[in-house]
This record gives sequence, C-alpha cells and structure tokens, in this order.
Amino acid sequence: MAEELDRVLIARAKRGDARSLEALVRRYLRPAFAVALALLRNVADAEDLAQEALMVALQRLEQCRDPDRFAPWLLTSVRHRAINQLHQRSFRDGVVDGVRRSEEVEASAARIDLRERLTAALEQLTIVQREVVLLHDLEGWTHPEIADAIEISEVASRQTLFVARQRLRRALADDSQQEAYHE
Amino acid sequence: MSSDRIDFSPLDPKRDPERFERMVRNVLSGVQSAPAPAPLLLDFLRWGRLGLVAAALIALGAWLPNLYTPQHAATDAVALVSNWAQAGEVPANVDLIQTLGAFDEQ
Repeated sequence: MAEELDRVLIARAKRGDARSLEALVRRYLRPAFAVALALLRNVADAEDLAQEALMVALQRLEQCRDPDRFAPWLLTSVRHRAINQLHQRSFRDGVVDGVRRSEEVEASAARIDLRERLTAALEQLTIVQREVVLLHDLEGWTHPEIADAIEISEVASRQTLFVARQRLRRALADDSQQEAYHE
Repeated sequence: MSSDRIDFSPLDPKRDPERFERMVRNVLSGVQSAPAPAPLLLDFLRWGRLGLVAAALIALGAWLPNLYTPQHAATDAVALVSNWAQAGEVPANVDLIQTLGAFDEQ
C-alpha cells in the first residue's frame, strides 16, 4: 500500500507535479530526520541533514530506478551523509566516536529539559537501536517497513525495539533519580 | 503495544508546525530551484538526430548536381551511337556532331 503510493507519487513528481513532490517531502522528512538523529544525536544537525538529503534525493529522482525502494534508497543516503558529517565532526573536534560529547551530555542531563534528556538517553543505544526506536515510536512505522528500510529482518526489528525501549526507560529513570538527588 | 511507546514528541519536528512547514518549504524550494539535469541519452539523441539531418542534407546537396551532369548524356550518346551501328543507320552530320560534340564536352 505504502509502496504503491510511493510509486504513484514518484511517477507524478518525475513528470513535474508539484503536489506529488510536496507529498513526498511531507511523507519522508520525519523518517529522514529520525535516521539522521539516530546517527548524529543532535536535533538541529539532524533537521538540517534530513532536509538536505531529501532535497538531493528528490533532485535525483530519475536515478531512483525502483520507486518501491524509495524509502531504503533515501535512508541509505541519509545514513551516508550522517556518517560523513560524523567523520568531519570528529576531525574538527578531535573526538573519536563521540565519547567526550556523550560524557558531556550525561553530566548535564539532570538539569536540562525533556528534549535533551531524551537525546541523552538515546546516546545509550546503538545506532541500529536508535534507528528502530525512532522510526517506530516517533514516525510510527511498522516492523516490516523498518526491516525493509534499514535492511534487517522483522524479527531483528522487534527484538531491537524491545531492547532499545528497555535501555531508554532505564536511562530516563536514572536521569530522573539524578535530578531528584540534585534537587 | 502502542502503550509501550516511548514518547518522542519533544524531538518531533512536527511539534512546531510553523518550523516544520518552513523545513518543507526549504526542501521544496531547493528541489525546484535546481536545474533539471537532462539525461545523457536524451542529449545524445537530440544532438544525434540533428547530426543525422545535417549529414543527410549535405549528402543530398552533393548528390543533386549529379542528376544533371553529362554522365546521363554520355550514356545517352554511347547508346545512340550503338543504336545507329546496330541498325546500320548513317546519322546526319548534324546529329553526329551534336552527339559526339556533347560526348566530348563531358
């Protein structure tokens, strides 16, 4: 169903239909953001990257040979861009694997708002766990959709979501306890 | 199942509709402002067709004058003299001069 809609929208967008193009942007901006956030762990950077990746993907729509695979094609591009940005960031900051960044966020998490607490809690997860939990809980994608888009099995998607949620809840609970302690 | 969801709404770009709309507009204006890249094959076909038309015109231009070259006349003169010889016919001087004269001009 989703793939059929993509196929129609992509065919029309290729012919220059502005409404279909806009529908594709509205449909894929948040999933692109979710994957970007999973890798970059910074909301502003993830928003910028999602916009840029989606813009380039839509400019190169002719290169998307299989419209049914638009979502995996787009999200792979988002992932590559995010990885490049992480490399540039690590060169710039002299930080490898975001370790120092992670420590900084953890240290201050108790005193910052919910948005940053969530971002900090996401730091506790692996990239795949973040992708799965964000695509599922933020974007509302089903396991078959997630499995197809990030190229894992449905079973792996379910297991990953289960573990990711457990770890997130634990991280958020620890965070709340720390906050209570500081108060 | 849905009750197990982690509430990510603080991270949701749609939490601020105005900001989300701005993001959508950014992407759309970026897509629409980019020049549409013409596929290489279409370019090749477009220029290839023009090239073929030009080559055909040149070939036609080179061939047309041959239609009226004395080659026909030459063939005709040879045929005419052959006919005279076969028929044992003696052509008039004027005919002979005209035919052979035309043949010489070639």
